[in-house]
Amino acid sequence: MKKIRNFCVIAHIDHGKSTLSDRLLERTQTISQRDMKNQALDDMDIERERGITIKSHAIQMYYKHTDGETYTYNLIDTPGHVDFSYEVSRSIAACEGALLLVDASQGVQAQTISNLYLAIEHDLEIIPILNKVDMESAMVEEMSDQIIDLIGCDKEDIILASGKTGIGIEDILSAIVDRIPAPKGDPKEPLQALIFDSMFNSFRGVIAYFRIINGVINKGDDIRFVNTGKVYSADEIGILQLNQVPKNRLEAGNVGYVITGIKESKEIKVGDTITQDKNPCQSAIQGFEEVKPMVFAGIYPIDNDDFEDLRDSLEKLQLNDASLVFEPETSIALGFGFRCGFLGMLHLEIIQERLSREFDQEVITTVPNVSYNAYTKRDEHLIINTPADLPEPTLLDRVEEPYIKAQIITKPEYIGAIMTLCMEKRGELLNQTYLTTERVELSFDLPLAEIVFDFYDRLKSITRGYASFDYAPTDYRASDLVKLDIKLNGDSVDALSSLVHRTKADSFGRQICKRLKELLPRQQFMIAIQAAIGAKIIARETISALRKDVTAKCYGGDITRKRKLLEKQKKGKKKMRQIGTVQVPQKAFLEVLKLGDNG
Amino acid sequence: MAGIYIHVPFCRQACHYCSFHFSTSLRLKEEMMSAMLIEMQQVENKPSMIDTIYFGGGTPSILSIEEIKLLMDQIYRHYEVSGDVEVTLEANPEDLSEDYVKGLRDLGVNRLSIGIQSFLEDDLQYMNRAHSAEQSLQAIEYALSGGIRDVSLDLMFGLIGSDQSAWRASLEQIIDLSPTHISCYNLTVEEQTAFAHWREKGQLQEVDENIQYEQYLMTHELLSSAGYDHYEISNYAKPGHRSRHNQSYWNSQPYIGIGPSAHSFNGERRSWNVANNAKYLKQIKEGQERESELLSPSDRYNEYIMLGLRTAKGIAKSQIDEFPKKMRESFDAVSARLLGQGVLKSSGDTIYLSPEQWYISDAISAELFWDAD
Ligand SMILES: Nc1nc2c(ncn2[C@@H]2O[C@H](COP(=O)(O)OP(=O)(O)O)[C@@H](O)[C@H]2O)c(=O)[nH]1
Ligand code: SF4
Ligand SMILES: [Mg+2]
Repeated sequence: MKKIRNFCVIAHIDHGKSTLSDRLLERTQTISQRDMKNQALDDMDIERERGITIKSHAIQMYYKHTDGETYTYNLIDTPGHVDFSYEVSRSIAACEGALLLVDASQGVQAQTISNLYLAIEHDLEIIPILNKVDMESAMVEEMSDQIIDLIGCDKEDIILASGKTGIGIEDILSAIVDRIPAPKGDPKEPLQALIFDSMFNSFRGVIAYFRIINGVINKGDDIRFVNTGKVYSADEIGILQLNQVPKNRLEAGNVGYVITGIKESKEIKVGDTITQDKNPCQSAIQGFEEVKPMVFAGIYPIDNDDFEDLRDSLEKLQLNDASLVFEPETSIALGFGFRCGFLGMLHLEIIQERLSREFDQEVITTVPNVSYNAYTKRDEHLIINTPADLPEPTLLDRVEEPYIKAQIITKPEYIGAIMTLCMEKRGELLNQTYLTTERVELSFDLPLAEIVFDFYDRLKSITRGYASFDYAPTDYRASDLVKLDIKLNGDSVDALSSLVHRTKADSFGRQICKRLKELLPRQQFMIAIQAAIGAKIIARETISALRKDVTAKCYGGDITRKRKLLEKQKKGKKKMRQIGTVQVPQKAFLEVLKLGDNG
Repeated sequence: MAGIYIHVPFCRQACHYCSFHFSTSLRLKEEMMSAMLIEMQQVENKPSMIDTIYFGGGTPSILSIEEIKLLMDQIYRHYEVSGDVEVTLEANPEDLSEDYVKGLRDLGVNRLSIGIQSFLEDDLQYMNRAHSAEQSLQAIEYALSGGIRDVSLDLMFGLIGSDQSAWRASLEQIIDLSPTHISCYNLTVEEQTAFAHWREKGQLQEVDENIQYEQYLMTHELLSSAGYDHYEISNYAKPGHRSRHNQSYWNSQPYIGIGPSAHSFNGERRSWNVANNAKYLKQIKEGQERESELLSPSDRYNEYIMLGLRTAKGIAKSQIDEFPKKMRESFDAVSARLLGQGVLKSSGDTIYLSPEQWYISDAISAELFWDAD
């Protein structure tokens, strides 16, 4: 155990975590040059394309130290987006140390700070690294001061590195041995292992990644998951290199995987504790939480006949993404579909994209909403995950909406713009702290509903990208909500309904109508778009009838080409949903919320 | 009954809107003539009777009377040609002289289709046409007085130079000239044309769609009341003077295409020559196969819908009954909805679009199309 080091990397998006990880893997010859694709740890297609890490992964390396000994390193990669902060916290809990990676020209960002606090809470040893020092824009002195302010280390503790050129990689590798403590557990104690991640493999079922705190695990053991109470046989255990390497036995301190034949991710919960069924540990490892979805939206097949296929696909996605929840619902406009819960908007987009890529399911996603608490006059408590469930105003006593504490780090010159944005979003400034003269941290009290949709994009645009953002849920508070309905040619489209704060209903209604006008293709007849609260119309737009869709010439040589063109046009229409008489493109439901600047 | 189409792939200069296949270099003209003569002879499974002959392009009037005679003679040598064959030749105004028209008439050309496009000098320049407005008027006079049975004049609307009153004046002028046939094309910005290029760069001035639609309606009204029958989106004819050749395309009758880019159809399979002069010459020289596609039932169904909705003839329900059940059912469902919305009209066995609705016929076709996958 003395020769094991478990650590993670804390970094803001784009500060170079994946690149640096690649260098470490290369230098320890965990991956040969030949197998090296960039960003070896990001293996979902979407991750590679978006350049972000969605699911965390782990990998084992062997490092020959100058003291002559070979050490086992377990690098636990963590997701880099607020939507996935619970997974980050579990990964951190599996480590004794963290590499704090800060881009030498960008400096400390909100994501860095929130994850750093998590790491400090878990008593991790922090190795500060100033990355990308090869860049001309690197501001080593200034950024070093920021780091010193932040964690109170000495200047000499900061390693200057570049994942690109390889500067500092050797220093990092030896600092891991020298500074990060070896794991402390006891192999003789009853087994206690923390599940920090899980993965679904269509051949092998669910693979759980764990860190053993105490005890040992052997191939074939009957193991129990403490929080779910379920018992399984450890059919295969092993360590994680670029591929899984089966072992017969793993001891306290180490990181590994277990395959039990479980077919559904739901059964394995990140944060749960694995123990021996015969000789169980006294208590579960602390910090387990059921992940709670923050954003809800309906997902519907474009063609109603595909409902069962969609259920199938969602079930398969849930196998490897336990944070996705769903239940059947019906919409008057869209027929049968599912109300799904997501960790955030990015998570929602990822699910939609994966449905399309991995299952060839083109879906319609309805206007998303957060989860509200409603109390009726008869004092019933209802959880409202869809606008349709909100009781009639006459029956309703009150509604509560979720609030968050938002943390924004930016340059002082953008404070004004950010304040304006947050006020408009019904926010309240809680605190303003200068981290350095050039960097200020603002915290706001904000309704969650106001930040899930276009907040982040707008924040980025008003600060030209010089703001980072993180949030944590706080509580539920009474709110004056109304249900805003959208009508197309007089028919209410439930899939476009939303719950909004009364003070914002008018402007929101106008914006939605305007946006729909841009999003709906013209049709053979005029389309009236209206926003209504109850019977009262608060906004309207019209789309004039389609005038021209014709080919002037169609003679012998044009027929084949023309037919093919129209066949393509037909396929485009298939991606639309007929609501009443109106064709609505699949994308419109989500796009409608990207309201632009005064939303 | 079948038609022959001969594609003459040369033009004097490239019109800015044109996406047809042509070359502005006449270098390969001799070779092209020989290749087309060979191709006429080579055609397999020649139809039993040729009913229409059509010289299109490009600019067929770039050929001399002698050259056209060679082509005509070759057709008569290798095909059975009907006694009342319709022989059309597309001509540009700058090519027409009294003698040339007479020469054509003597060769049996009984239908002359002249690319006038506009009576306005500005429009002609904007389109990069090779003739002046005056040349057009001269050419029309030669044609109308030259003993050719049918004269068709092409005009274009939706041009930036013609406002509503200018377009009305053009229509009145053409009605005065009283050709037997008029084609009025709405300017379409086709891919790979100068106009498309300018549009991409945001440099193309365009006429508002509503104005174009009004011009379309104005055309329909004025020409109809002058006794022209609006029988296809862009085509108007005095009674008995429709283009037989073009109608055969819309009725899915067989045709043989000769020359680069020309398409043939034998009732089941459509085939076409490469749209490249040098490659075409090589294809003929080496006896290479043309490209082709066998029309599946859904291809034929979609073409029937698409072509039917462009013409006064419309779609015959009895014809739809010849297609597979799934297509019939889909037709019934979608057409019922469109009839209900008043977009489609029906009368007896026929389902059709009224001329006002032809202007969105592509959108309607796409709705009625069968999606094979
Ligand atoms: N100049 C320079 N660029 C780097 C360095 N490390 C990463 N990058 C670039 O920064 C971007 C983000 O890197 P990545 O490793 O994906 O960051 P992650 O989001 O933290 O995983 C990529 O374009 C990298 O090529 C470095 O040390 N120097
Ligand atoms: S419009 Fe006619 S003349 Fe002009 S380029 Fe096209 S084919 Fe040639
Ligand atoms: Mg990454």
